[in-house]
Amino acid sequence: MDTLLEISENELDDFIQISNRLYDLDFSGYAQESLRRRVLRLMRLKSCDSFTAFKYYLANESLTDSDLLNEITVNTTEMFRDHEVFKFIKDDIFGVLETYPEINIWHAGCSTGEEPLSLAILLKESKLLKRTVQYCTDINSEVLATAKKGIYDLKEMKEYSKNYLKSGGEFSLSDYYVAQYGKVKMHSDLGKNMLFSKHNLVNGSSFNQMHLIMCRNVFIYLTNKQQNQVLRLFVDSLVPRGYLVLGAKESAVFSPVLNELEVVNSKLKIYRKKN
Amino acid sequence: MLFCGSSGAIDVLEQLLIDIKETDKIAAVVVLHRKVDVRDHLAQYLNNKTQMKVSTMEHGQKMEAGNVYLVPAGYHCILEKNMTLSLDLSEKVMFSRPSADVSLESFSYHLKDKLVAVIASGANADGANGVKWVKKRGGTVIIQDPEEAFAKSMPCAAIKALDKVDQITTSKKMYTTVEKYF
Repeated sequence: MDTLLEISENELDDFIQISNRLYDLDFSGYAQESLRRRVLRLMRLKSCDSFTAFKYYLANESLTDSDLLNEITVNTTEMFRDHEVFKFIKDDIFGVLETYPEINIWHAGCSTGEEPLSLAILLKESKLLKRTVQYCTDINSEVLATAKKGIYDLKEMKEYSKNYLKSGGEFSLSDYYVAQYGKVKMHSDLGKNMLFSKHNLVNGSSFNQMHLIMCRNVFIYLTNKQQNQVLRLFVDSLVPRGYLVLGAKESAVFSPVLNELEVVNSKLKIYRKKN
Repeated sequence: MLFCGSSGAIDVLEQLLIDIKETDKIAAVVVLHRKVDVRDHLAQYLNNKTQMKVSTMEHGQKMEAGNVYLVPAGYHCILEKNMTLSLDLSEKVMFSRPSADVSLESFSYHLKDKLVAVIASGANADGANGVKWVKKRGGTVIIQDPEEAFAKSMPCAAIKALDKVDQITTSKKMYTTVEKYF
């Protein structure tokens, strides 16, 4: 933030149009203030000192669709983020999942895969992993490629290990990876029943009946209208009495679709489809 | 009011909240660098000390006078045009999430001269960039006197970043200083 770059509302609209026409990306439903900040950030990264310069850059330079998507969307994730949520899933939801012969779990907006892996570890310890299919989707194919590899930075593992134990993990997180050259490779059996697929939540359709859907910290990037749409998709994709887990600081109380769900834990934003 | 601080700032915040009398004039958002507080102790503690209503904010809440919104650890807080508070998980700024720089830029964009920013004790330079935005857009910057701050870096960095600071004051006089700008 060396120079104080500005971008006006009209210029932001311009950006949305350009992304639509030249890059086949639709940011019209992206939360406004977040989008403004991401565009400013990208302008600085590309050393554009005005929006005009940035427009020129977008029109002429060889930024690919996926580069632009990558720079604008936020892919922050962690293993066992909000350990209370994982503890609750393990203690209170696994018992219900156990009653199904085959368990379908959908990680909507799975990013680089830390969350499906966290759940896979807990499922394995509860002897549920082998009959679970985890559908991992994201709008961004680059993060999916990382998720498939299952390779992460070793320096993150100290924090993840603590959160693994607080989530009710029974062993040590290091039992699930091999470490080398500052990286860790997660054991491949954790990912055996994961299916990765590019999927846009906003215009995508339902592809299976899920027992549990996890979609944490995606709604914070959507407008109210789109939150509503995505929530509709989730309810349609859940089996009766299926569970939905949102981000711990996301309240979706503004959507009428919420009437079709009951609140299981209001603090942790865990919902369950009514019969 | 956007209150920003790090180590040593909670005492300053507490004093300020105790002193607030005219609650219907102020909505406050608090950016503190802190560990995840799963049981929400800080909000409860402060809520008992002040006439303002203190809570940890959630995404999508409308910002209203009489309230103090603590930004949850692990998220940035930004302001939407319609005065609702949004959370954001983008990269840490100055090794911090929440970052004062992020909130100062966003809040000043929408609030212009209506924003009063307070920079209190803290051991890094987060906020120094943000206060430049606040001044550029006509807002007010009040900084805790580094002489009394538990950690001087954050107030010092903010003072250094600006040609002219509106006020440098102690935590005891913080509210009477802030009050002048509402």
